[in-house]
Amino acid sequence: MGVNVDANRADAEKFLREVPIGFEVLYDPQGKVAEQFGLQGMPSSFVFDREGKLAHTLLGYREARRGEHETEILNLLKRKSS
Amino acid sequence: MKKTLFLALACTTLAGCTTVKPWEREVLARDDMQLDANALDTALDDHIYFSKEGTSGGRGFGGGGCGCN
Amino acid sequence: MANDKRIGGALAAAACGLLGTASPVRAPAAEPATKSTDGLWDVDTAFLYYGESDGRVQDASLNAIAVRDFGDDRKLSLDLGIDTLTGASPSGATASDQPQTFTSPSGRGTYTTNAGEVPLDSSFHDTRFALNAGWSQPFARLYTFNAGLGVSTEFDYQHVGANLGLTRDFNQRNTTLNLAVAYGQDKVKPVGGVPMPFSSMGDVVDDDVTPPSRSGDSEDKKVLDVLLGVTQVLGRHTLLRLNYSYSDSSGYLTDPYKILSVVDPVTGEPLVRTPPPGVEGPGGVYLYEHRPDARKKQSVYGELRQDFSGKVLSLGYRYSTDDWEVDSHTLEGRFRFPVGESSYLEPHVRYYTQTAADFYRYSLADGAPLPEFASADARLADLDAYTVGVKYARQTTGGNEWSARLEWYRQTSKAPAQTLIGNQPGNVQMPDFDAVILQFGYHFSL
Repeated sequence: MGVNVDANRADAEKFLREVPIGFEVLYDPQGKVAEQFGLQGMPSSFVFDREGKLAHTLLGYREARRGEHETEILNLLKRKSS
Repeated sequence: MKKTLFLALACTTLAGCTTVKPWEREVLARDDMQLDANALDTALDDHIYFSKEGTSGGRGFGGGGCGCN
Repeated sequence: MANDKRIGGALAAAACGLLGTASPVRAPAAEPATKSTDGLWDVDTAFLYYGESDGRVQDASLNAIAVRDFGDDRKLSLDLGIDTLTGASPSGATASDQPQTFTSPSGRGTYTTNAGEVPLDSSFHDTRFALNAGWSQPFARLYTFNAGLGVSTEFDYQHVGANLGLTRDFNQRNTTLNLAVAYGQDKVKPVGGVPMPFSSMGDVVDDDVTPPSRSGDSEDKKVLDVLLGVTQVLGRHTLLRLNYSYSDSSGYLTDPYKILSVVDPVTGEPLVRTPPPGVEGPGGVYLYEHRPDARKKQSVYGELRQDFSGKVLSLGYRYSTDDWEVDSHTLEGRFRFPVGESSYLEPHVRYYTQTAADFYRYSLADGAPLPEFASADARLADLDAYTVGVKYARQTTGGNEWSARLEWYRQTSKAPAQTLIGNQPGNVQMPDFDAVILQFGYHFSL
């Protein structure tokens, strides 16, 4: 799921036209969710396990570490499901 | 001038001065809000003023050096 | 960082304030727009024409800055410039109520200035090449490192330089500290050789003879610059930058082509001299200038950028002071506002004022002891300059940008009263001028 924090909905729509994504996008134009999550930078990614516990945090994005992140997420998916 | 300097320094030390959150930077991220938005223009201007006036620099580095000042 | 419980709670409470969601599965119906900014190189080019009034300097140049992003904010930038200079600039000699004859810098010929005109030395038809390369990359999350090299060459001047810089972010990147150092080494190889300080402009010499009183072929100069800066976000729409700079130059800082007139101490008129029979040469006594071999400068610079719903105002101020006593204030403003969907207009104004160097002289009095240093270069006098201009830019459908800039520059200078001799007050002619700056630019991706 993605959380979009553009204050202006038109900016978000413009971005989504240029970069089509396959997952759901929620809108947080006043940054309330961002504040609650205590974001330190953009983008920020949070991976939650099936129990709703925070399993992995990713601050920023580096193309160079893409493989590493993919592996991390695949490992989390493989963990015992409840 | 001293007052402005003090205010700016005060802002940087008091971390809560006006902290713009990472997700509130849509305006600051615009091309025309970048400090190097007119990079080529100011570089060319600086070269002209460097050869026509007695003072140069102050903005940053890059380039420079000619037999004119 | 928020702890797990808090995050879980936030999710559970669905604090999003959902206004709606995008369709969960995005059918790839919309092709991603292929902007030309998808290319690897971001290139900004400009053709610049600079032309002064009254047959003085004209300069035409071609410039390009190309930046390549290697991903993750690692960038290479290449900056290339070629310019050609023609026309004449003031030699430092004073105007006279008689025509004056001077020997050209090569020592091979003479040129004459009409009565009542400020003497201009016909500059050489000169071409200059400059190349700068820079690399910047982040290391650790909050640090960026950058390094650069530069060279420039023209027929009588060469420059080589290097710079290093480090930036560090604080306060969730609201504050950035910047430290940079630059070192430059220049070599000046004047036409006719390096004149000895205060030597007299000599008579015309033959092709294979060096003009008299030359101390050598070339001289060197070194410059060290240090910059300490802070960039501070003052609000969602406001950015402030403050820089402190220190600059230390040493070596040959004199202009090898500039002279001072020796004048009668009572009338203030240039002395008259008759060259030996059968020889061409100066019709007066003109001495080559001499500047100190060191110069230390400090400056503070501040720039504010403010957004007003899509219009941007930028205001800059610089104060500079040095041990030559050239102190200056520069005030500059730009205001960019959109015109229609894809263009903008940006008016620009600049005001500059400086105080004269302590060794600036309008002329030298015959019979008086020579000062240790002296220069009649108007660029070291009391000086005011104004620039007014406007830039227009238009985006193309491919995401590239055309631009045109037109500026008008006016410079006026004044000789401090204490440097005037005899009847000169009221009779002073400074080489004031106007200039036009015209630039055409094209910004594109490769």
